[in-house]
Amino acid sequence: MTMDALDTMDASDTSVGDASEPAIVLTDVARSYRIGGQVVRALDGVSIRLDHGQFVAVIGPSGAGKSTLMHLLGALDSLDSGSICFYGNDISRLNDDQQSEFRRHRVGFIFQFFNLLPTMSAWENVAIPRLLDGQSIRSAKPDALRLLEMVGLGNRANHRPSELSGGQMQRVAIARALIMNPPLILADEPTGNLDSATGAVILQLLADIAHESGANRLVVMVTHDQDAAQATDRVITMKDGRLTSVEIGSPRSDGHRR
Amino acid sequence: MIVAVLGRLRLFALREFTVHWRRSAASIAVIGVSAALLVAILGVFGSLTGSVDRLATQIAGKADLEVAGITDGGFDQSVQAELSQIPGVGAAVPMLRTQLRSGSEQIPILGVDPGITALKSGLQEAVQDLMASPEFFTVPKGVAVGAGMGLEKGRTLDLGTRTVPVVAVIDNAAARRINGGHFILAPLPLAQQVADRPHQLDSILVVAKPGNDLNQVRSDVTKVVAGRAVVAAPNFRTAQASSSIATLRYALLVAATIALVVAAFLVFNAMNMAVTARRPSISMLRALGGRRSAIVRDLLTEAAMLGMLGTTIGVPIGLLMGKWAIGRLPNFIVQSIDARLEYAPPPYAIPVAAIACVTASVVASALAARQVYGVAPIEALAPPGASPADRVSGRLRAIVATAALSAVLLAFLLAFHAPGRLAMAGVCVFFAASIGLCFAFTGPIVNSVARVSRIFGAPGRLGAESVERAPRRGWAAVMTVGIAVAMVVTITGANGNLIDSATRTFSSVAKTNLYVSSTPADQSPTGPILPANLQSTLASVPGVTRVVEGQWAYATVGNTRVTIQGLAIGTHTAISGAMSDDVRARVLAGLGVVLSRDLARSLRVSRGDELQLSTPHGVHSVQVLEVVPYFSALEGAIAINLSQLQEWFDRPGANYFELTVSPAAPLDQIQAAVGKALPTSAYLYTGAQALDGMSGAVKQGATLVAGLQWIVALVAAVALLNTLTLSVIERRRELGVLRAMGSSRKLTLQMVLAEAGGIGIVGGAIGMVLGSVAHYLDAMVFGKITTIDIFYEPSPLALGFAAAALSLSLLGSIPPAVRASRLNIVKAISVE
Repeated sequence: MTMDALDTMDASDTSVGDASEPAIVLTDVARSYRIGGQVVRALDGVSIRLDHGQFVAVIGPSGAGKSTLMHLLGALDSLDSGSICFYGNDISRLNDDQQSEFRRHRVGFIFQFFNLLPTMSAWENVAIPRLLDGQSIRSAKPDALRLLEMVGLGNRANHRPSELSGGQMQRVAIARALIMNPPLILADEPTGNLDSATGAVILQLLADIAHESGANRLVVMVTHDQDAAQATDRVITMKDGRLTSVEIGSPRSDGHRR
Repeated sequence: MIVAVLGRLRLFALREFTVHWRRSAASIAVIGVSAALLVAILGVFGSLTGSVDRLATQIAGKADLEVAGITDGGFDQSVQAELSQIPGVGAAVPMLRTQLRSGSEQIPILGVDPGITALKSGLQEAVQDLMASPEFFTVPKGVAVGAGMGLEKGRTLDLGTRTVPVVAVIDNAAARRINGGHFILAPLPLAQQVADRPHQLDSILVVAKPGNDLNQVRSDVTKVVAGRAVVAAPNFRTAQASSSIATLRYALLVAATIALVVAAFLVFNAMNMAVTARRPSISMLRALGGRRSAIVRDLLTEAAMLGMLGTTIGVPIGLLMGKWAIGRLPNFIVQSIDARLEYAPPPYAIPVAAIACVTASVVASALAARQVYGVAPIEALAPPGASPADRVSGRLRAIVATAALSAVLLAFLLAFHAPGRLAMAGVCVFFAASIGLCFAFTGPIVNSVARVSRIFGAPGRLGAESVERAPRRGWAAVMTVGIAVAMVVTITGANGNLIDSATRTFSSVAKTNLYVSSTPADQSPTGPILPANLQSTLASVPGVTRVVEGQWAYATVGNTRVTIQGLAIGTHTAISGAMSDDVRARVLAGLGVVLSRDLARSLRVSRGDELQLSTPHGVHSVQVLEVVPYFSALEGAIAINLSQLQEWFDRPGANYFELTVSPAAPLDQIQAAVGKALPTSAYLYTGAQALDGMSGAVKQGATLVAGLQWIVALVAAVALLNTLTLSVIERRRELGVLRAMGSSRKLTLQMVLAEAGGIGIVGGAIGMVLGSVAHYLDAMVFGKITTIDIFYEPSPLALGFAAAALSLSLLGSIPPAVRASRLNIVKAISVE
């Protein structure tokens, strides 16, 4: 996808073209940072292919490059070398406005600490991306309510974050990540602040989102939790900015192949 | 213990200074401005009274009493011989102290005799060498001059109507301390000749015999003088000088106090944000076992350091400002001071400024540091977000609201009922009360900002959410705008009303076509008497139909230095314009006097009372015919029949003339003809110029006060920019999340601008309302201290200032908005 094509794309069209194409292809991606006086090579020539319909975990010790990988996938940052293709289109050289547009329509973020706006109700929090897209928040309300229903919070739509539990807040965040129907969901330690039971619920939700028939969605989760990783379709292990292994996760309970 | 305290100071306070230098710099800057203003004002006015005091001390030496002329016409020399007969009087040293014109300059001249050795004064020390040559006094051939005059021995000097030789130049340390070496010393008889005041004295310095009761001596002296002169301590001139500048000094001090209140508020804001930002580290310290009291103590120590740093920067700036300002004081102030002005800030100026500024910083920070008591250790384990400590309890707001409303009531009571200059405190109290009231209404104010921000669509909605999420910060920004607008509306409105009202009281002077005076239009006509034949000369100029003579003089009435104005039939002076026709006719007939309101208040007399007026010829009892509103530079004015002034006070002649010209002839032609007939010592100006000159004096004083408060408004503008910048810095994560969710740079920028727009509109509206009320109070206070009728008129500019505040808010928010739109998303969303 050229920059011009990205510009002229219909903002409401979240389809991703040829579904047989891989969702994301990273080719020899490198990224370095200067921290203090040292140059740290956060990603050192990473190449991988990720397909839609999958729930992928990225694990590794601190400093492995997991977060950097996620930032590049979500166009939060720019790489030093290599390329990242999103359904065949190179997204690694977008300018800031194009990156914002990409994030708004193609990516849904789920953060470790939920990052809900405390003075807005649950449905209003879900609708924020629509607001950022220039739409009226009222017009987004039906979809927001639907998504809250989908994540099991239909009866909490008018509650504020201070009135929700951690798990509930994270489900609101998931709903928010879905409001623009993005093909890519990036979750940064989504169960890091939750108890194991609640975490399991969240992981199942993410898996369901990834496997939703016809949605062609890819969910990438960064986590320290080995158990959480094992609940995914693929586990990518990183160390010192490189991929060290790519494993298949546990079979799906519905018997489908991963 | 000390080591631990110093260690905490280094690690927490000093580290904070350097890491959050913007916040620290803003606080230091506002404290520095306040310190500079206080030092400048105290320095200037201390220098004024100090100059008078130094001269008085250098001349009087160990004199216990001074007998001084009621006016500059002095009193008869025979009084000295009478005083010398009093048993308790060891020495009665006569002196002539006057100013004579030499060229275009007024020069101070001291006429003395060898008796000054009894004073053991700086003057006596200065002329020791002269005293060794008694012929200076016994065979007076000329004058001695101080080295500051820049004259050489042997040169001749035109003094008054004579030419005298300079027989000595006095150049020593003691002489330099006398008026900066700028004086002329003459033997008493020669001085009396040159000044054309035979047998006249201006001062007798009395030294009591050792062991005598000074009160008894004073009582005896007063009995002998019998009202022909003033009997006072030698430093009475200092007290008079202090009184004469008191109004302007108080007005400037009130302005500086308001500046300090604003500075304290801005420090409160900055410290509030600092404590909020440091909540995680404070909760961590608490979790580790730190006591709240120790943490608060550290914060207050940091505040004291801020205050001291600000004072350290502000003091030298204030000293420079004072040095600059003393050469630019309004003429009506300088004219009444009988000494050469030297800039010498009093020793209390810097300590007072330092104590005030450090105290303000600590008190303001103490209010902010209260938050610490609401920070729970458990917060250390929580993610960043709003804390219960960010909310202020309803109970506290209710208490503050009650106190603030009481303070507003107090402000009105002070403004309307406090005597004289104390009423000025009402304006200060009102500003402080306004801040308290707005604090109590933080909720509605913040909600209003959010509501207004939402008008600007999606960015406004997000901006509103940001304000609601951090109400303290939003309130602080609104109040910064509000206070600045309130100050500007107050000053501009009240100053405008003062100038307009004062100009109205002076308006009658414009009825006179031309004035001839011994002083320029922007000075009171209290200069030397004009040549005796000038009136007839002026009357003979073609086109001049009438010449009315008049005279003003400085006089001591009671203990008060006033202007005494001798009026003749046909006069159009301002005080005469304030009288009713009947009262004017009676004054001109010599049936009584008219007092200005401020003088009547200080003498505690009113219409119909008898006033005992001391004159060189004894005490005259006069009836107070009327008390009128009259703007006086000193402590007041008395209007009296001109002949009575001339006879009672030994001041024959006139120092100004009012000319009426024929309407048939062009004024400028007549003016030119009159100008040709004048001696070089006289000034000529039109009635319109006279009015401008008098109004200009008021404008100058008002401009000084306005200048101070514009400085404060500017500081508030800088603080607003700082607050908006800090609010963006503190919302890094929130802004990062929005950017991560797809907010474009443009939307992020619009969001910050929308928030600033809400702040500007609400802040401007609050400022307009508070400023309008403060304007009304200030106008009433001006009326009390100037004792003229101030006509309150709301300023149409108030709306303009509110609009300017909005513009400033938006302009000031552009840099932080751009910063917000360009922040690094990855760094912003990283969990710290």
